[in-house]
Amino acid sequence: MSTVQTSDVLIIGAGHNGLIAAAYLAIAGYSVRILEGQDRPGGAAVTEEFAPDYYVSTCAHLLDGWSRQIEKDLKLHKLDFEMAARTTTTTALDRDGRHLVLPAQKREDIQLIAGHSSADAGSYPDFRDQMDRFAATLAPMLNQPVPAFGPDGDTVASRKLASSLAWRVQKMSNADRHDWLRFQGNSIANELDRTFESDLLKGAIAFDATFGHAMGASTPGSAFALAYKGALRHSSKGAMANPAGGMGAFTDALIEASSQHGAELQTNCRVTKLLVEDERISGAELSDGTRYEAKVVLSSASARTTYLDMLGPQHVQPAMQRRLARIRKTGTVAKLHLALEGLPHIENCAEREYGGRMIIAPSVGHVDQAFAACKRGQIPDEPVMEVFLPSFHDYRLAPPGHHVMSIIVPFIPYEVEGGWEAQEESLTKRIVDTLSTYATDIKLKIIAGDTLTPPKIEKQFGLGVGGWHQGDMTFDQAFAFRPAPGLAHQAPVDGLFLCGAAAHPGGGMTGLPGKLAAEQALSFLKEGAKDD
Amino acid sequence: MTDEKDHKADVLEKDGPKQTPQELDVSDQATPLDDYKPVHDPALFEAPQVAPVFDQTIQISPLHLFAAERNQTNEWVKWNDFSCVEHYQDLENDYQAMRYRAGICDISALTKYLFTGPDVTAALNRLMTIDVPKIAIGQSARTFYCTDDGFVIGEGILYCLEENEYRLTTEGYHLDWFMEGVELFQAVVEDTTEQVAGILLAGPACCELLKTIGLEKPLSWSKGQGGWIKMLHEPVYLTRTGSLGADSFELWMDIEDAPLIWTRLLKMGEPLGLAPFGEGARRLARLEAGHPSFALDYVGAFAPDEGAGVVTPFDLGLGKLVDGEKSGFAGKAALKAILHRGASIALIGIEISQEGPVSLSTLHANGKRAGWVSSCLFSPGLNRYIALGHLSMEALGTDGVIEVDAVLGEKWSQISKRLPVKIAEKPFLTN
Repeated sequence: MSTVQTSDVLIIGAGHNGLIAAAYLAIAGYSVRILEGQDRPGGAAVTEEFAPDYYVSTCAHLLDGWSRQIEKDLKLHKLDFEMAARTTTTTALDRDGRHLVLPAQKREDIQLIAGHSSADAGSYPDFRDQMDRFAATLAPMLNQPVPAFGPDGDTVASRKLASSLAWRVQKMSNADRHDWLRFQGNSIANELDRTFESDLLKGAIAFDATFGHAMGASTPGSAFALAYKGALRHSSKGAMANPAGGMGAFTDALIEASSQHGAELQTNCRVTKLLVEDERISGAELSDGTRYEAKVVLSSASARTTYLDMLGPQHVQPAMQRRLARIRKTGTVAKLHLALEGLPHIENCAEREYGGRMIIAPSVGHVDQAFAACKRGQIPDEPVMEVFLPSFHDYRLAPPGHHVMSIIVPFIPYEVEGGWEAQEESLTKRIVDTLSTYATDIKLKIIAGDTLTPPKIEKQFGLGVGGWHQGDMTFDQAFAFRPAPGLAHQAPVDGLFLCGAAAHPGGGMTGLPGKLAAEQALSFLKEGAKDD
Repeated sequence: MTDEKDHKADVLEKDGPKQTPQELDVSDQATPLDDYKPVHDPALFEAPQVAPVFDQTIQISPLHLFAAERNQTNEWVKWNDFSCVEHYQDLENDYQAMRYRAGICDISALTKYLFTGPDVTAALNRLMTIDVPKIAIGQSARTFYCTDDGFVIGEGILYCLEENEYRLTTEGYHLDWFMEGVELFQAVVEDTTEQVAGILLAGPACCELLKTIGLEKPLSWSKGQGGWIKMLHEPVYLTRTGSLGADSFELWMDIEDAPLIWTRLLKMGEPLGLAPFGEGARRLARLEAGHPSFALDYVGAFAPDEGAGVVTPFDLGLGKLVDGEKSGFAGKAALKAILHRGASIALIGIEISQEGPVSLSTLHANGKRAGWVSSCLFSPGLNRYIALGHLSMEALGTDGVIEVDAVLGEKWSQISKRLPVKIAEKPFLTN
């Protein structure tokens, strides 16, 4: 009937966070088994052939905020893993070729801003430095587990955390503290309007703040989103990196790192049920009845799936169930992959710009218009987007002389007017049309293409409603409120941990949720060993 | 467009053949009303005109007109949002019938939730403080249901009617909480308050009454037991429950059958001294049994005045209704913690031998405020005032004097006094 297999640790989902957690625990000497529901590991970090001989990272395409600490801890450099490019710059594309490079650190980059507005060139360094200080204030909180507040929470730890944040805010200069109190509840559009005048600069920063979130530039709280993103990049001390071989190579390296220490990876193993004994986790069961026993289970599925579907409502209190059911999760991102017959011509673009991340967001208005269209269930007339040419630094992804282009388009509704079957083509057309005003010869160079609408992303990567972050990353769903109040780093039963984007500090390619979950599982295992 | 269509559908339904309910086998139950043939008035089957929600401040029971006919005082009281008779004759007569002969009371005002579905037992077990799988078919049990923090949302009697079918009779309206509670299970909850009528028979002569109408079997039932019977050819769920212990039966039936059964029972019971009794007597019986009442002695955790007056089952002295051993249920962690450290409040019975109207308020221990009194009523059976007090455990533990603030006398000669409290055993009156 059902077979039983035993290990110390069971990890559900072989996404990058699950694999990182697996590697940490395997290195610590525990026997680890990873169960992946799909037929391939990697989750949203995969490289796939979308047209013959053209390879691209089909979901996430950049290691944004990737923690160098994890790279060192897992000794990835010993596993033939390398980055094709380490610090990719962000270029805000301009129709007239007067592009901006962000974050503008060097004198010539500031000069580019001065080309749009000399006043902005003057105020930019102050703004940039203040953003860095805000990021530094938040960053320490992202690298440590956040205790749950509330009656069931760890009051000592939560008081310690609150006081440490209060201390850091106290330590700010008077001007900074004043600005921070205003900033964290404000919209990024308001913040930018009071600081800058150049549309392009404001558009690019607003795009960055709202990228991947279901919020417009004028949505209150979008300024906090920028600070949070800054903190994620700050605490991981890496800007953006592009792994050689795409995200799939990154996943392969993580699998290698864990399997070297004995972790076993099994695909096509969909966990349907978590097993509980005496209010303590005891393992998991697959849809075919196979049972796996373990002392500790880490799940990279979303909080709702893990606690309500796998664990079962009988272990979740009714009010907690309500909080779980109300986690906001919206999928507003589409992807387009293009196989190109040669490098597209973008005016005034040098090697650095081609190899980096390019943003098309001409103004704050464009960001807001796109979000407004998305809210109405429409495709934006002029979508804003992030364009990346992974093959520029990584020749293996396309035939010689050819290129692949990976475009992430935010503010695309999950449910579109007229249905996605009818609208997919018009989405592709609008993206390419918008793109062609910057890369004028792009239409001549396209050989093949592949559009991933939010429902397709949901289906292909198992991301509920196509939301990349397993819960929107807003102030009300961050820190102690992630995944839901009272559940931050605290599961309804002992020995169960969330290790995916649903856990603090949230979605992205930082790897931190996996690392923090592994640390907690380790201390839990050690405590258990002491009791025995 | 759609409105027209709907309308047509309505007309079709009305004109179409009426589905007759499945005839039940009645051969073994010959009753004097066998030759009764109901006349179907089509107006009865039309949907009633529904008043806007905010126009309707009070609901009326399906037995309202029949109760009004017997209500000699025209005293009505609001109980669980229903208009109920307070006294049919006066408290004394109502009480006499209920306590010493046989009484009949309309309890249709109780909220009645029906839980069904293959997973309903597991779903209910997660919401209730008692171990639901232990309730066998045809049995019932008193239970609390609490918030995650262990505060009582409400209490009620949970009946297991059939396999995977439960009825909860309770006070207050918590349908949304129950719906959310069962939504992840293969179970549904529906509010059948307006489809099910309830009649309470109480008093020593009611066994005799059941015998008269040919119901022998229920007399051998233990307390809490129930089953389907037929009365006037209609199915009735009879249970040996109610505030008066073994001497009381509750009947649950379709609202359309209720008037006939009510009238019939009153007629059959006449030689036994059966008389209707109102809310006043029912409340008194409940207090005499020492049961704290929802909305009188405590408020539910979802009451608008959140935080004040909310209690845990332990504060009501009913910790025995919390099964700390069963797996996860709403409020388990909080309730287990209380089980471990003990309740902070004790529910005490108070007896006052005083003339005239008495109303009690604050409790004092050694001159310090130590609690409050909720219900306080005169019990004709004991010939004294009885009350329920909520006293802090600390004060109960000390040997000090416990006193209560009392207002004595009629309106024109009222005096305030602090009286010594005599803590009485609960229940005040056993049957």
